[in-house]
Amino acid sequence: MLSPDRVAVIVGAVLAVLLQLVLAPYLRLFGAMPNFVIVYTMIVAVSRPQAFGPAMPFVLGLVFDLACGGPVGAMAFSLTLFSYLASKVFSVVDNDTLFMPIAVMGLGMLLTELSYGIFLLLFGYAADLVAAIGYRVLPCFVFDLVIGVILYLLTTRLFRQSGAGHHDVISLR
Amino acid sequence: MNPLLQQNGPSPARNAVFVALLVVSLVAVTVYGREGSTGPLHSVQHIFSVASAQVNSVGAGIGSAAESAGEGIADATASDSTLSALREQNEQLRQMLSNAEEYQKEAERLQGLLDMKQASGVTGPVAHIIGRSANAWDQSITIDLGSDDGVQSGMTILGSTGVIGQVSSTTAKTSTVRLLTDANSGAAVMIQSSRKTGIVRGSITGVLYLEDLDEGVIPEVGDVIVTSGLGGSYQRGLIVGAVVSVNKTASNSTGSIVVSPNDSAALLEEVIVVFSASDIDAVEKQAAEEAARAQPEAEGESEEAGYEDEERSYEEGGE
Repeated sequence: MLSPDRVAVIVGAVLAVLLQLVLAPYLRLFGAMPNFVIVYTMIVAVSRPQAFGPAMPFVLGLVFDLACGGPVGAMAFSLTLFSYLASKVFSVVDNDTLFMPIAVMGLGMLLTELSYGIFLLLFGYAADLVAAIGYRVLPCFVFDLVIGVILYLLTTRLFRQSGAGHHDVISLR
Repeated sequence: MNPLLQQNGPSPARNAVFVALLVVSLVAVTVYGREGSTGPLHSVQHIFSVASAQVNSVGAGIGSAAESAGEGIADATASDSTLSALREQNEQLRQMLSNAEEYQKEAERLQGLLDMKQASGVTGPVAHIIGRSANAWDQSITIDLGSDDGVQSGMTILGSTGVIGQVSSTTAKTSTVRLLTDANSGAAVMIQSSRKTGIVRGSITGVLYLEDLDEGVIPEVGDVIVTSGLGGSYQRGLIVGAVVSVNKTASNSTGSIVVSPNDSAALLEEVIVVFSASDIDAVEKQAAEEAARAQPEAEGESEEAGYEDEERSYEEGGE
């Protein structure tokens, strides 16, 4: 039987995929668009790192690869690796401030976008690394970070208000 | 410190799963890269892309539904606040005007496509854009016609004023179109005035570059670029865009030539799938014949008008 916490994480994951398929294409700005799958995985990595371990990022990444195009396994690899590292790093550097989860989350997003971009370049995407970073990785990262911060603050506040699982959520100071 | 991490900590089993999933991902990437487009991973991806296209089309529906709901809420608020029959009538008229404007815009778009079909001599159905790529690295759209409607991979897609891309994959009911502005797109083209051939390539910035021109051929700003049909990837004689800048560099004798696409897929809602196109030479020949045919008729008309004038002046003089 799944705990309510895990059910919430699964529902969130499904919502992230739906948002990516339905909403993200209409948010394209100067070639960049947010990646709700990355945003959601990184939020979970810093707020509920033990909820699903590496399985949830892997499955989400694989679904992204299959549904949104690109080499199958590229996003799965990037999300699994960097969400795991983000949760590990966060467990070490967390100092109960708001800055630290956002910084770790942002770093995870940046490395995931960069790693995915490198995979695409290896698969023959017609651009050089500098252009790829300048025109896709960084703009997409900024988009992800802005949405990530908003969603992180909302979910944290929501959990604090409901009082459910408050011990799992980072306290805001 | 996160209490959950402190309490549980990463177990060896979890680490093993983590490493295993990374290995599986890398194996999948390697297999995907080595297998052909008919390989198992590509096939699974194709099935998922069909499903995601359906979800994506729901997104377009949600967008218009949200718009209608917003209008409905605004209408309801207005009638509640005013309770005036005149205001209600005003709202109804506004709604009708809004609908009429929507129909007018759609009619203008379709007229534009029809004009484009007639001008370029293409045959093919009009398709609605039902989805756009959910991956920032990919510039593609999904249309509501598929292999059941006769659409095949490689077919050219036209907007209201020019080529916008090519069908990259099809399902029974939908097709994915890779836009010309995608970094991995390319089309064999020629400069309409000089007939010199080259390749128009998309880029990560979304700008089209004209490359691979013959040595020493430098187009002028404003030169029209049309598809050449070489290689068979695009139908011949369709307008791609116009040269907007030519920057000659030391490393490249023809310089960096930027082409402004005639049409932007971001603004389109309908497109034409080109099943066949008249050969450009035939089109030009036909246009020349029509012009030649029109000239004697015009001369004939002017002669007739001259006779009428003479008769009129004769009659006036007689009176």
